[in-house]
Amino acid sequence: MCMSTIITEKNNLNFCKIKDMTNLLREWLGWVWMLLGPLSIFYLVKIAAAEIASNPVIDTKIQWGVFIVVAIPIAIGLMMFGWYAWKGEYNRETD
Amino acid sequence: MSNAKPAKGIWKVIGASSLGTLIEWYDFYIFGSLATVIASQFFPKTNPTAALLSTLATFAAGFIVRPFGALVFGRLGDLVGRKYTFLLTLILMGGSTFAIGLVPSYESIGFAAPVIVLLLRLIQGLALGGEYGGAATYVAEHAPAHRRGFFTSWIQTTATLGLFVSLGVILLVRHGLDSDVQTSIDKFNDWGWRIPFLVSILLVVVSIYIRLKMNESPLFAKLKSEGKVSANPLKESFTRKANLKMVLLALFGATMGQGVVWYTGQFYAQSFMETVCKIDFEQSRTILIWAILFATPFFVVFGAWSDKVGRKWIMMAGMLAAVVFYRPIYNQFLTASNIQHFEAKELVHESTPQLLNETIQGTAVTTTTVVKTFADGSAYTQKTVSQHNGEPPVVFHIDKKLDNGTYWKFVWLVFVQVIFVTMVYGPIAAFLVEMFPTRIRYTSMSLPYHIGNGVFGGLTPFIALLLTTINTDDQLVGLSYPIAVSAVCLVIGTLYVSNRTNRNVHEHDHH
Repeated sequence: MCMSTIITEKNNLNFCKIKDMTNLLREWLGWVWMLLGPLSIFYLVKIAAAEIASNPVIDTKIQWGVFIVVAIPIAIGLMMFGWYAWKGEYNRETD
Repeated sequence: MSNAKPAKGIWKVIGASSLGTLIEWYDFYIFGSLATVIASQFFPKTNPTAALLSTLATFAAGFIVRPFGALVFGRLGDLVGRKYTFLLTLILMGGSTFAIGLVPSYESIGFAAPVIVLLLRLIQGLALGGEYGGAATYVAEHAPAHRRGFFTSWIQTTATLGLFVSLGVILLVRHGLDSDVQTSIDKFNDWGWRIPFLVSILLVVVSIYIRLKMNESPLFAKLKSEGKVSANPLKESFTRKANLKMVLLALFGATMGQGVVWYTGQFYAQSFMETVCKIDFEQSRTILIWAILFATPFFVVFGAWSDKVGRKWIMMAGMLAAVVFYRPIYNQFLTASNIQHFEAKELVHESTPQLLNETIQGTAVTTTTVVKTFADGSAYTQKTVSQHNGEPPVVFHIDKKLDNGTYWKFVWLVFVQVIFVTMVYGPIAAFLVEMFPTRIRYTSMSLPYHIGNGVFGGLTPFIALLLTTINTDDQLVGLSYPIAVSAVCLVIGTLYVSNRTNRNVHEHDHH
């Protein structure tokens, strides 16, 4: 049952609707964050490959290697964040 | 902590923490600011291995070692205490900075020079990764709950002030070594660059002395006396779901956006003025110095305000402002430094053309250099490069000196960006502290902060440069990266972050 400090019944109903919709949005956007992780890695690897191909020196390889090594755990983190969001872990009653 | 009165000696706590953190940022930035001089001294391009070490020093220190330092020192801080851990980071940072100032050049000791400098730079990155979380936690755990935003915001001024001091010291030394400007710059490039590194040790010694006299954080001391210190802060921080989801939220809903806004408003702004607008070296630096000086008090203003209205909406407003105003601001930079803007003025002096004949890749090339000065004091250097192969000459306009009015307009434009920085950065220490329990706070808040600031923020210049090489038609395309990251962070922060302030940070230690 929706809890609210707002006293009138009508206001309480509106508040509950907004809260439910916000929580629904939080959950469904979880899919966006889950997809954004692999998508960003795909583009990063694609750009890295193009950059290394255009200037195949060790400096370029190290630079892009560092970027990818650092980006992979961050992308995994974003996917986990999306998963938690989808599972409603970030839902709440009020702000 | 009492809600009624500020804790006793809070200003001593803030002074001791802020001074050390400021010095650490100063130490970290002078290396970046002097990268060109350091490269010529230690990493000659003629030696590919030395050049490779230079790349490692640039990328590894910021992107890998900083977050790693956050884990190493965060864990230590949650196991043995805040005081000794951030004392250790200060000693490591101060010692390595001083040592960089003493390393003989590549010409003197050969390959050992770049190897030593690389190692010292990595130690700097490691120490920086451990410092901020310790200082912010230490101050927050001393601060009264209802003024935590205000007191921790003093720590938030240190990163910008560290940049300010590094720019100021470098400019002063660069001009103070000889009465003749060019001789002074030559001396600076030869040996004077070591002075900013060596000076650091004096400040570090003072700061270590002050920090040694401080007590351990009361919340951590209490936890320790009760035997409730975490046995494995890393495991507890990143494998326990309740905490891990908050670490992820801190990163994607706050520090990620904060990092790009921070780097864009200060480093990218300076780089844009120099490389795109072609503003004179000194003017671009003094513009940044003035803007930082005027905007720095706002860290405290927004930190204090966040105690009243919550942390979330101030940070989100800063990100929204960045998303909306970055392109118009940088457009103003371009318009005001456009060459037509200069040529509409009365020309009062044109130097005698200097000719330089060279052969580049088998083609004879003549470069003609002319300095034009205008009635309002503005000036620029025009270089015309003519190839003797029938191709039309190419004209460059560099070293633009702005007139007084345009100069202050630039200060204003950078100031506005630093205000965005103060909005996202001022309340963030209190925000992060309030997200995590005392027993794993140092570890849990350090990692998202350094990934957000070091990785997302640190990538700003590289991705901006990359975007400009992909889309050469749009000079503002580099802004797409900070705008996109801020926008994603704004959406995540707005939807998922709570504006409720956890006043009693020690309460969730008991769950």
